Amino acid sequence: MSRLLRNLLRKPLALLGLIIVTALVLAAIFAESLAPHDPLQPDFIAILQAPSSTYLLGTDEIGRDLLSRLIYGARASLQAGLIAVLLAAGIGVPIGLLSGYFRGFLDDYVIMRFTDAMMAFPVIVLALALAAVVGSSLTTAMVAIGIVYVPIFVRLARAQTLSVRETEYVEAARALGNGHLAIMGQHILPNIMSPIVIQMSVSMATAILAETALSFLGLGVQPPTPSWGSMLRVGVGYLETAPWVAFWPGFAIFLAVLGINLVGDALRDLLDPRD
Amino acid sequence: MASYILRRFMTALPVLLLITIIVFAVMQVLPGDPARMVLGQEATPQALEAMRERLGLNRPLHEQYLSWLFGVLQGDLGRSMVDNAPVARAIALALPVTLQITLMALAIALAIGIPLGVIAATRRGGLADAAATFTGLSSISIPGFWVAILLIYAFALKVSWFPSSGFVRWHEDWLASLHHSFLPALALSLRPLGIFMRLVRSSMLEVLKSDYVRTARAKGLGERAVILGHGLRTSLIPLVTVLGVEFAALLGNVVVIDTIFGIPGFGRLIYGSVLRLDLTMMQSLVLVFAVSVIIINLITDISYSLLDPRVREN
Repeated sequence: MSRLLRNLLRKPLALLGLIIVTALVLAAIFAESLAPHDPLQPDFIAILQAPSSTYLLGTDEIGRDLLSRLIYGARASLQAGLIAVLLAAGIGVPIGLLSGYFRGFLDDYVIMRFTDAMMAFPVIVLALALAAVVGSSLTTAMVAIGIVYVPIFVRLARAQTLSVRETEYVEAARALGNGHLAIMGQHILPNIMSPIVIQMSVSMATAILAETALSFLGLGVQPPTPSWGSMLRVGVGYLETAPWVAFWPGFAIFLAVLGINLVGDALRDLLDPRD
Repeated sequence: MASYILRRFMTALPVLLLITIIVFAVMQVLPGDPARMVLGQEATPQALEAMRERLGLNRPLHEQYLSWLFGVLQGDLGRSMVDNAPVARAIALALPVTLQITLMALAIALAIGIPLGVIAATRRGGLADAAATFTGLSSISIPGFWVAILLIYAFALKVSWFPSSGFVRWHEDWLASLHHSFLPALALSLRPLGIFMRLVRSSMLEVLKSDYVRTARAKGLGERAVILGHGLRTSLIPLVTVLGVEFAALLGNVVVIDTIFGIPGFGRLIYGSVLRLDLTMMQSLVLVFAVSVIIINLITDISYSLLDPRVREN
């Protein structure tokens, strides 16, 4: 693990990614002490103010500090990305593993065709429909995104299991009399983790994009809770008079997703020995 | 070849059927009574019962499914619960708009992504490679709706080169149509652009190491001829598969872009139906989205097999 970290640190782009992600996580955890102002406290004599020494990034339409709202907003997006991906991998990997290990009718004709069908629904479209029906909230958005990503992990875990189950060490484990569960848990799963971890980082980046898009449409995080997507939504209305209201939340989303993608890219280079 | 196409078609059929079942099933478990949604909260029990009868909600589920499916197969997608207009008509109006914008986005992405990928691959490890890699990753990471807003700010508000919203149909005035769809297409194009660039770079690197490229170099072909004549052609084949995936992803991203630019496409249709809880419209649109993706995948696979004969044999 320390070798992995050392290799990561040697690449400037990976280092940049690591710095961004660390800053993001710290902002989300220590939002209370980091934010210079209360993110919910309006200041009616400082409405739509340009960036200044009091309000470093300016204020929004009711005079709330944009920087503080951005720092708190990291919570919603990180939480959404993390939970959606954990949900997707948590459901998808066991199904894919079992499906690839036991093969047979269920694998070929039910699970694979079902993932084919599921993957045909665009994320935003499915999440929109779900939000409309169950009601808009961060939880709905996270669950919707998580469900849409399940087939990705089913397919990946299945494909990896198929290639690993024929290897000699799995054969040896079987010959030693290990049960199916032990073979899957102790011999197959650890050997298919690398591509799954890489996929998790890629999916986390797109999950954050999906959550912010939903919040932007008003179907994710609900006001007054600060979230990057809904802040951007408000900013559109003041584009001509106060462009910073729309600029900063979008920039925060971009930075967060870029950071995660940079780390994911570096992980791929290190964990995938093919290149 | 014909047998491959037929086989591929046969695997798509059960998936299509499964999609109709999923869409129908999801609509069944939805909370709320469609009859009440049509008639409103003040409806009398008799009126509700009559409406259920009219909508066929009293019949057994499998009957409802089959009659819905046969309707869909004949192009009858039902009527909007809000204004009672045929859903198929609304979709037919939105389809060309969305096709135009997504195809333009793909064209922009290809026109910029492929050359960037080639440049990155041929200068591997250099500054140009690092810059191209960073650009590729950035364009994947940037939220399309933010780009859309920045573009509106820069090119519609600061300088009025492009309209900030609205749409003109192709057959009305194709020049104005291009003018209106350029900014939305550009905002949509960034993600596929980054994906194409990265893919061309990695497959080009792979190809440049191959024997036939070495042969081409050995027989004295110039570097330019090697890269464009031998390298690029082969490395574009994997692009075909991604093209389908990205086209499908664009269909989803259109929701936000339509909303920002006020474009009367698929995206605005589905967003509107969600806001107004127009369940028939939503159901049909989700179905149309999913079926389009399956058709795109089908076309992708078939064109891939035309380009790479090895695929057909498996």
